[in-house]
Amino acid sequence: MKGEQKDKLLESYRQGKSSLEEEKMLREGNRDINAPEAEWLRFADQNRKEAPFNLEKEIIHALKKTRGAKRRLYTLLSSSAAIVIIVVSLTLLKPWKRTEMEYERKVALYQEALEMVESAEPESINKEILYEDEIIIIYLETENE
Amino acid sequence: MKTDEFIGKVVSLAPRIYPLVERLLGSDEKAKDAIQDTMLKLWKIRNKLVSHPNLQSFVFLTAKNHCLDILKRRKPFFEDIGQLDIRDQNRIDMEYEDQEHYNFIKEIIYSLPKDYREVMVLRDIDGLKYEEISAITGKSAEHLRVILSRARKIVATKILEIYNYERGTER
Repeated sequence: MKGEQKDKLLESYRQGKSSLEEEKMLREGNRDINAPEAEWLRFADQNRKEAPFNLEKEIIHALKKTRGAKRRLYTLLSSSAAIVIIVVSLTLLKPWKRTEMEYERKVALYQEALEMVESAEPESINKEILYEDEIIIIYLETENE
Repeated sequence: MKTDEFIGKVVSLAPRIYPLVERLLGSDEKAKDAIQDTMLKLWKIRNKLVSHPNLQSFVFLTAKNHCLDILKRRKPFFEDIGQLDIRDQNRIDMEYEDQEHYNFIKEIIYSLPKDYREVMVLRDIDGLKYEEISAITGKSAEHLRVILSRARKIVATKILEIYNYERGTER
């Protein structure tokens, strides 16, 4: 930086009209400045903190981690909800009981059928033998009421 | 706001926020955590950010407020965004003379009115743009230029006084 250019820059710095780029030049070249501002610019340069080069990457990583955790939470919640729905449905509908009822019904129907067959048979019949020899038997049937 | 847009418009500001946050909180780790927390806060409201008229300023303001919230938990708390790094009390890597000069400058900066110091530190140490300082301080860019010019002149005059004193002339 030439002397004249430096003076011009310093003047615009004093008036608050310099750009960040120009101020950076002044800060970094503070040892070549023969003005009281040089001390302040040196102090500013010593106190200046630069962001770590991977700061953005770390933030993006943290964001993705949060999103991943959120997604895992959603998965966990939806799985839990599905399990709850299944358990509640099984408890309320009891499909295994329905099979048992069907079996009971079958037994009942079988019993009913049996009763029908039994009732179709003639009631106890009284047989009164009228005549009997070696060849022939003559008997009289009377139904009970 | 989609992830790529959020990264491009918000996360990309992290390196610019860092000097301010690091200076206020006093350590690299705390600064990184605070910036990450700020970004997560903003991520949660990303859909509202799409229509924000001045997103960049809003990001700076959110970061500053997050730092002040952290500092409020510390006792004692003085709201002073122009405060200098708390670790700078004793810089053992400096020669005695440099250390003396360093402390002089620090005294000069702390002798400035609070808003002058804030603006000067935010611009000259943190390297922020006028619109970013405007978002943090609430002052217009034009007003900031005036303050900055005055503050720089005061500092230069005081440094000159010290130098004259050191050279043996009247202070």
